[in-house]
Amino acid sequence: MSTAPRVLLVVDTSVLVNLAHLDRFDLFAATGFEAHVPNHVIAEVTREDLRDRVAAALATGHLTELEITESVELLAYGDLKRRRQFGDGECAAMAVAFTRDWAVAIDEAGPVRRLVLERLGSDLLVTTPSLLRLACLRNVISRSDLSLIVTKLEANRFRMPKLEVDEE
Amino acid sequence: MTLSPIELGRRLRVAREHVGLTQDDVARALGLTRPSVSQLEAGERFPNSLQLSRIADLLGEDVSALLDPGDYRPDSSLAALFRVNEALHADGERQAAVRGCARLCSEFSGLEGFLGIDRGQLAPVSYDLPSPNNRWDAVNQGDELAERERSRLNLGDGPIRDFVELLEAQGVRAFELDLPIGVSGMFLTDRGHGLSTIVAAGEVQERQRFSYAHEYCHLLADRRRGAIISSERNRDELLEVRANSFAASFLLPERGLLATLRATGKGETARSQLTAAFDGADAVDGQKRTRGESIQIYDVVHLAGAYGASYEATLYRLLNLGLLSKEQRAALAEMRKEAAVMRSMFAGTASGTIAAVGPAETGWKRDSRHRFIHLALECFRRELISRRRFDELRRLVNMDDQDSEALLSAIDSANAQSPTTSKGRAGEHRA
Repeated sequence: MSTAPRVLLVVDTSVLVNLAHLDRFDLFAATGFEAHVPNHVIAEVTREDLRDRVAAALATGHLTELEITESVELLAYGDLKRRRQFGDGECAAMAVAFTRDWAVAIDEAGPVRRLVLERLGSDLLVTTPSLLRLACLRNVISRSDLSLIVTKLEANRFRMPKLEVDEE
Repeated sequence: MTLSPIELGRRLRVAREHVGLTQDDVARALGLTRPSVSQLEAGERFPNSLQLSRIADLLGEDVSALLDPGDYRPDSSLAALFRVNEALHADGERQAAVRGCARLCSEFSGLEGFLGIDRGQLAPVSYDLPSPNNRWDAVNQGDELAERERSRLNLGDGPIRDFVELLEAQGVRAFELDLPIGVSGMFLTDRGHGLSTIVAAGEVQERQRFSYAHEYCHLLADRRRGAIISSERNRDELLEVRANSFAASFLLPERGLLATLRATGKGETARSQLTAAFDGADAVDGQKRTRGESIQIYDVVHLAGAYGASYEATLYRLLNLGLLSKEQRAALAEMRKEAAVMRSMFAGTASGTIAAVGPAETGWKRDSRHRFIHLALECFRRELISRRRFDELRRLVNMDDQDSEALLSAIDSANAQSPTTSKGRAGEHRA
């Protein structure tokens, strides 16, 4: 049993919704992450079946709900909101990641990605594809599982890039 | 940089008091207890960011303003509106709608900022008019201002086919909104909200056009006063009389009306004597001098249709111009039902009627929400805002998921075909 410390991860809506579609929140822990979700992000999940799955994952400890109550994090959240470029959940997730130096799980390809790369670097940016790739490389999911997962996500309007899983 | 719970609590209290809500109101709306709201305002604890965000929404405040490490100043123009208008002050639902519209205006300014649109350059001229001394003065000022503005905009003497388009070309936003009964319109003017006119959504198109014109006058002549509400209660104020006179003259220009009437062998060429100003419900009496002609109900219906004005407004305008006597106007006013029948017949057959192509008959509402979405899409395409942010913005104008998806797919498709933009966005959720 591995005793390696998990990487602290704050999860945004896009990745949360994808894993809710798959009902595979176990992938976070299995790939070495301790996943935390801001209450803003939970509030952005509006589909009832997905909300139920998120609630179940919170109950079983696959996810931990997180509130921003510290002054420095509130100010960071306010600063991101002031830019008017990002969604509310994105602001909350990034505020936590930036102030705590946590990894952030976020799929947005435009201004959010640019800012995360600028502030945290690529090592602390997790996306649905990178998480699945890691899960595949660690044999948490098989290649055939991966193929089914990709099909399922694309059916739910997620555009999956081609995954290279031959080597880590 | 820090923000103490006491300072944040103070800001929450100031923002709440500014829009006239009680701690009970806030507690009820957010599912909190009144003592917990009191604790937050006393700085006994920080709210979490989600609570704070919801309180800010309720108060019509920007959460980032509440969390600004510098000074905090609440939005004064909105608060002024709520204070001066009792109907708005007492109607929580519609007050919330106005706050929502103000937020839309503020987001509008943000999108324009991203795209480098300088609203200061777009803004229409501001006329420095003296305060009218009496009603007669107010009516004259409104009439003359309408002529000057028509001339400045090279509108000639013809009808204004699309008032929203005219306003937008002047850098003025136009919105329809559910307003309290008796409130016909309002305008906001400050750096945060930009220049925005708001008219009552439930009104027929002709009345909305009149309201837009009325608010446009405030914008041209009364901009320094900040936000203004036009309602039945303040109809007799001289600035309102001036705005009504402007609206009537701007929508129904004297030379244009006379030319139209002359084409049917009616009307006179002499400059009219202004005698009254239509203000949407009644005439403000001035001197009465009749130049009655044999103007018939179908002439009035034709003029109203051609110029996109209501039957009643056209009657008052003809009275103002001395083309109808008071008695003739009253007799024609009794024929509203017949006029409505004729209007619908004209709308179905005559290509020259504004109503035939306007929103009232087709159910097609048009205001600056279209332009708002246009700007949001452009910001998204240029990757200035995120997809989630776009979703928040399009919800402000009630665009549903399906329409949004169709639009964004079209953008992706266009991007994929364009040699100058990125090839789609693999790795993004489209829901």
